[in-house]
Amino acid sequence: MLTVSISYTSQITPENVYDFTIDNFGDNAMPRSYVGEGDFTFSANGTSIISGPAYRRKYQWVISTMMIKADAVIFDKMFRDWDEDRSAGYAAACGIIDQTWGDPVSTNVIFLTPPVYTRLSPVDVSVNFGLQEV
Amino acid sequence: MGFLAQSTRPAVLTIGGQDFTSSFVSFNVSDTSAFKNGLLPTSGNLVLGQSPGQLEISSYSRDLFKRGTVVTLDMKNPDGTIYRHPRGYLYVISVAYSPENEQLDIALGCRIALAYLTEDVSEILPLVPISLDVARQTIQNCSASFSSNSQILYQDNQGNLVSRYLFGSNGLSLPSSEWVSILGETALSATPLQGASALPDVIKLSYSFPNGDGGLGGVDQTGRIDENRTLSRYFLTYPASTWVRKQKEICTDTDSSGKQVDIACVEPLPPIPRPIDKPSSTCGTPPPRPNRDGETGNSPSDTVPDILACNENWETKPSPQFMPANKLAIERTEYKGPSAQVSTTEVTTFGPAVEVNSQYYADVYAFCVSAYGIYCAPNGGCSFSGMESIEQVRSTTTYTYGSSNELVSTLQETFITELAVAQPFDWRSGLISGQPQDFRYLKADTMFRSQVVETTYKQSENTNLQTTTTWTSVATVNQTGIDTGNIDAMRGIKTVTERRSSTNIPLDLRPDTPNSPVTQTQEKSTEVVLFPSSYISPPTEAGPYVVDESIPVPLRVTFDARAGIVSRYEAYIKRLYQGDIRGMQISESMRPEIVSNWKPNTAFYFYDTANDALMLMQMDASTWGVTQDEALFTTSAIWIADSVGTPTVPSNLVGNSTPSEDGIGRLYGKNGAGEPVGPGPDPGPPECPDCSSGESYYEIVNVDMTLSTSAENYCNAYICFPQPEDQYPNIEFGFTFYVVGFIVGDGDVLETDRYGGLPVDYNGSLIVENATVVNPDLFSSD
Repeated sequence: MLTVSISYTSQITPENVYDFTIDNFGDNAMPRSYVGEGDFTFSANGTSIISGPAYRRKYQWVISTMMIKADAVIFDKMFRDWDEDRSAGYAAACGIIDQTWGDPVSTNVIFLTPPVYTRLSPVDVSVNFGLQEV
Repeated sequence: MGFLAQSTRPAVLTIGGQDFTSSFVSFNVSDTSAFKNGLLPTSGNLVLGQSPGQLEISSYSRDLFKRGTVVTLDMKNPDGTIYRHPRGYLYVISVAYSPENEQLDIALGCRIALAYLTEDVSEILPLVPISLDVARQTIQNCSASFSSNSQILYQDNQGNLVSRYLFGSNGLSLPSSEWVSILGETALSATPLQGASALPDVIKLSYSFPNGDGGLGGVDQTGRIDENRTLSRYFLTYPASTWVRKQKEICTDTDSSGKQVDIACVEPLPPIPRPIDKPSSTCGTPPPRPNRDGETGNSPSDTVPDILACNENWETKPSPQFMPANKLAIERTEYKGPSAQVSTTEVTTFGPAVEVNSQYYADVYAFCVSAYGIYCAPNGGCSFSGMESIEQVRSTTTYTYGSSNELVSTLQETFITELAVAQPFDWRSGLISGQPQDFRYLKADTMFRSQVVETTYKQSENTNLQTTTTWTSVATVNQTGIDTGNIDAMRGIKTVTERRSSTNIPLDLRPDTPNSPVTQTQEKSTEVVLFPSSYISPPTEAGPYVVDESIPVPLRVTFDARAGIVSRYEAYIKRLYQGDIRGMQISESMRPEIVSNWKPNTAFYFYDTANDALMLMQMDASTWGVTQDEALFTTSAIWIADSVGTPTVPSNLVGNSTPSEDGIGRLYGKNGAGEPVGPGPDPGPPECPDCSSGESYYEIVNVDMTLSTSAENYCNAYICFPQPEDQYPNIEFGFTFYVVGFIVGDGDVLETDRYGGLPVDYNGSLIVENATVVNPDLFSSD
């Protein structure tokens, strides 16, 4: 099963431990991609020159998923706890395990874009958010 | 694992003790670079916005906060604890309201920035490590004094002035790293400071120190007395008429016709002296009386002109007398005024008395000649009086200063001899005012005050007013002689002159500029090698590239202290040049290990992970920025040394628990959700515990060597062979140099004597017995 699992433990309220597994996605595009584009050019005499940062490219996730309203409320609470820890100066990050394709990717992420909620029905809510690998 | 540079830092702002956190918009301040600067002022600005319910900031009068109001900025740790921002204690310098964006811009500065503004060095002057001459006690020279001793002075975040060596604990040792910056992990940016500037090869360093053997020199020149003497030797013409007896010359004769004709002047035949007594009888008939030509007459009755007197053929002629004379002028200046200004000057001239009143001495001589002169001795044997040396004139000037050490008045008094103003009727015999008077001999050493000049200076109605009051003796002005009562200048003629000027026209009577308001010094130089092989030749223009530097202030310290200052400054200037060339501008977030116990020259390691390059750097010219979103700083770090080791970069992430992969929209412990794996405890900041740094040393050693030869002439039993001539000996000799070097720990090397020699007690070695010798011979080929 293709899933993306996200977890966060609040620092200000340590008893709040969040754990989500997302198994449905809004479209066929894989949620995980790379940050930035290739740096490739030619010199004055036609030599191929490749450049770029001296580190491997970071991952980013753009996720659109559907949750029941109760889960969406808890997800929002997780984001608020993360954001509150960040605003307090903590190097707050969420743990993620991506098993959507290829080998599982287990790393740490931050919320690049806050979650946006869309009411689909009295029960279901569409949740859209972006994550950036640390 | 990962590292997140968290730049978010909540801030607490107070101004004058009042909380303005809700109005806080931004805070940007910069520290001055320590590159050849001793004082490091911090300055910047603070921006406030209008917060409802807070103090109204829309003030155009620019006095909402007075200069000197304390501004504090505290930061909040994630755990809620408060700490003071490294530059979080500053003072208001000025305020300005911007109506377009309704914000108040406050210029901030530390105590040193305020001192630069007001030039008040009263709090800084007691802290300078090298004392300054009184005339040099300015804020700029205070900064130069600190940098000359390789030190800095800054204000910490509690408002205290703190001084320390710029490099290391003693100005020589390597500093210890206190935090680690890693490119790609913690450093937000890293760029070189100098770009592609050329690297100098050698620094020629010059320094000055007081004249004499290590004398400290005076605090200033107060009490100094200067005396200049000028001695002149010359000839003068004695003023009296003097005579000399000279033999007559015959320049005419009569020809055969009895006519007088001119002939070349010839000296006549020596006259035949007349016998003392005419003989009354002779034995026998006396010979005919000889005539002028030596011919004899036939009878005693022939008339032969007698040589009547011994002055026959002599005449009296005037002949001036040239007498040797000496004149001595003494100029004495005393510096007892405020700031070692001139307090008094005195000029005294000694010379022949005859120069004071030549007419008097001419009359004295003529009187003697008239009494004792005869035809054969026309000068009468009279002596040439008046050639003795007397005090001819003395001038004394006194300077008076006001409360601001400005010149307010001068008083000049001139004394001359009474003989100088004596008139002929004072000494000649005759009827003077109806009374008979014998010839009166006057004294040459009686002085009186002939002139007094008082000059006052003040400002009146934006102009400079100079008032000169002159009192002159009547004997000098009206030539009334010396017997007219009190001839002192103060009882004489008084004139007053006022001069008003609105420009800086030099004053008439200015005091001498303070002679040596600063210590007299001499200069020496030394060389500091930076990069011994950074160029190739040819072309010859490629190097060496020599930069001239100098220690800014004279080293008014003892001889032993001077050597330490110079060696520290050599290391100081070398590290500044090398460090600036290889420096990096690095931006970082305000991590706790950086901001705690911060100082302007905090050392840190910088690690480039991609190139495995580790360097020991030192913070300099840091810029601090705090806004509502972030708190960062950028430092123009000085390179100190290349280092070895690999820093550790622990993860600083929190809250990153590992998902259990079966929790679907659940909180842990609820609805059967699995337990995520919690994150580990924060292992701490990046460190480099096993890292070490090295430094290269280059020294120029000048060895002065001399060689002399002599050719001796060997003698045997005091019989010496003559020296051969034109000898051209061939002398061949060779030199072998060797240098042995040791690297030892601190304190394992003894000092040489002040001239670089080895004391006898050291048995030829400067290494102490328990030294840890790292390399016994640096230049060994083994």
